[in-house]
Amino acid sequence: MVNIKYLAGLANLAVSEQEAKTFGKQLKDIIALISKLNEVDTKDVELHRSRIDLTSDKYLEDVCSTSLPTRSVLYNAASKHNDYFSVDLILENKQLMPKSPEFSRSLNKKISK
Amino acid sequence: MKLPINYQQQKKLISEKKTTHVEILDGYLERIEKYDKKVNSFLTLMKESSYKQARLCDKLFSELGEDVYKKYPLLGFVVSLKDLYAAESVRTTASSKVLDDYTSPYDSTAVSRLRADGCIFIGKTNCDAWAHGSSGENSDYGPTKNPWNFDFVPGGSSSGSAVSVTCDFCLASTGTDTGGSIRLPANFCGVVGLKPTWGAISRYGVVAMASSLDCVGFFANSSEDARSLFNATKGIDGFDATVTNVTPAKLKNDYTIGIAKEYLNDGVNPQVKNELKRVISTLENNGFTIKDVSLPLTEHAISVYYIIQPAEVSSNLARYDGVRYGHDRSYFAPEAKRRIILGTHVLSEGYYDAFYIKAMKVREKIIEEFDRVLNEVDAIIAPVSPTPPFKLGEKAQDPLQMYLADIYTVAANIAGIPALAIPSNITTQNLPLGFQLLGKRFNEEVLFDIANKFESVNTKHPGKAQLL
Repeated sequence: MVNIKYLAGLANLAVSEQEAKTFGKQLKDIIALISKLNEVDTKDVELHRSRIDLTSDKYLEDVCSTSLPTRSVLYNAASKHNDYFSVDLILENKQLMPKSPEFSRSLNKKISK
Repeated sequence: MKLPINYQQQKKLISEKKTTHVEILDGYLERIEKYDKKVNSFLTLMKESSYKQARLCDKLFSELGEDVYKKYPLLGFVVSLKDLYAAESVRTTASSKVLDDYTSPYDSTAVSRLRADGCIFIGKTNCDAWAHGSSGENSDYGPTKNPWNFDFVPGGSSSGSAVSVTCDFCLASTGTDTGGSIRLPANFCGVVGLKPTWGAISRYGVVAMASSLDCVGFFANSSEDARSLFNATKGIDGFDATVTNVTPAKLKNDYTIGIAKEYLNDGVNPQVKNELKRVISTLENNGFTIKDVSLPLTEHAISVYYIIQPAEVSSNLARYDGVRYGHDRSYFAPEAKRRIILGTHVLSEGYYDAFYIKAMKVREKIIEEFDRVLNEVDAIIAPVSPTPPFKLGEKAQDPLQMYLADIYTVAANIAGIPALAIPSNITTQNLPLGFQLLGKRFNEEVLFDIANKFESVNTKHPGKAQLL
């Protein structure tokens, strides 16, 4: 039995009681379909990087280039402060503050505003 | 106003001074104005910038004449963009309210390459939100309708792109194909649809769905036009590490085409099956060798797909937090939520091995099976969909039935091989019919060559929808 509310919580999604009920029923059908894979014998299959993955041993040259202007990067932000994205406080307990001094400073600055 | 049927004809009309790029654009925009409210294929029109591009095309042609095509091989080729493609300073929504007010700060690689070759972008097209769907009904901006019959779905997820081409709203369109999202709408609307090899064209700047399956591809009126767009966009760009440059295979005079009995089973609608048989005999009568092959794992492709795809969806859609752009996660519609939850489930502790790892192992076996068969034949012929277009609303309440519409398309994505959907006929209800060719990795040219030969001998091409 799939716990829809729990899974939605893991994915940071809000689902209503009605949605949880509907999704639960639909996922049951879908899981029945995908469970058919148990009919396929895979005991000799060695799982390596998929055969179609052609990315191995590929490295990009480390080249400097112009990045997008800060203004256009911040253009779509819901909330910004100077040249930063502004977000709600995530960690309220100061003991859990990240150790990076830069990050703590910027966070403290924001809190004091 | 005479609109071109393909790019070659457009070049001829321009060179004989029978029309101009601005006049062609006028023609498309007039049709959009008149008919698009019936089919709902566009979300954003790029009127101002497209006229600017068209005027520049006319100026360049008058200055350079035919030589202009050496520098701009697709000069004046009018293209619509699935609303998953970033185009600088243009809204990109992925047909989801999450991105309702998002404006792209840069061009995707496909867009910048087409732009550099002289293409004109007319607008952004409707699709299933986040490319999740097989009917176009999952768009947060209302469903797109099939122009052949407004009661039917146009196929999804690239619904508006396919419709814009069959309605002569543009000459070609871009789409994305993760499990059939180009081939299905191409098939349901009667146009050519190309899903290239995974790794042939960069996905940079295209909203990601399931990255080990996602492909950038095209809709066109002919396989030759699809080929031009493919060649203009393929190859390494430095932004998508999965892209490889491969020299195209040599073309042959005689091809062997495989037909798998698994593609002609009882689950296939009789009209689809009979048309496939007619196409096979047309090919046979025109010098192609037909060979029976077997792909027994095909039936499991859909199960593999509905594990790997939602797993990757749940990961790719995790980035939408409403901080840097767009709205927060409460704006996701039911289909995206369903896939994120399913993906989270198959990746969660206790289920990861039973679902995800199992699916990856079966994927390996499917890849091996295709590799083995494609060593014996140059291409495999298959139906695109088990049925002709279905009615709006018919499967909307039953996600499992909707997912099964992808049963013949997902295998190509799982194996990473190229596939080309080709229109060939119409049903007794006057709806398009067609088929697909699956090829060896990076052998798109072989598929175009076979399709080209078929197009020249097929007497039953569906033509265009009559929008009355």
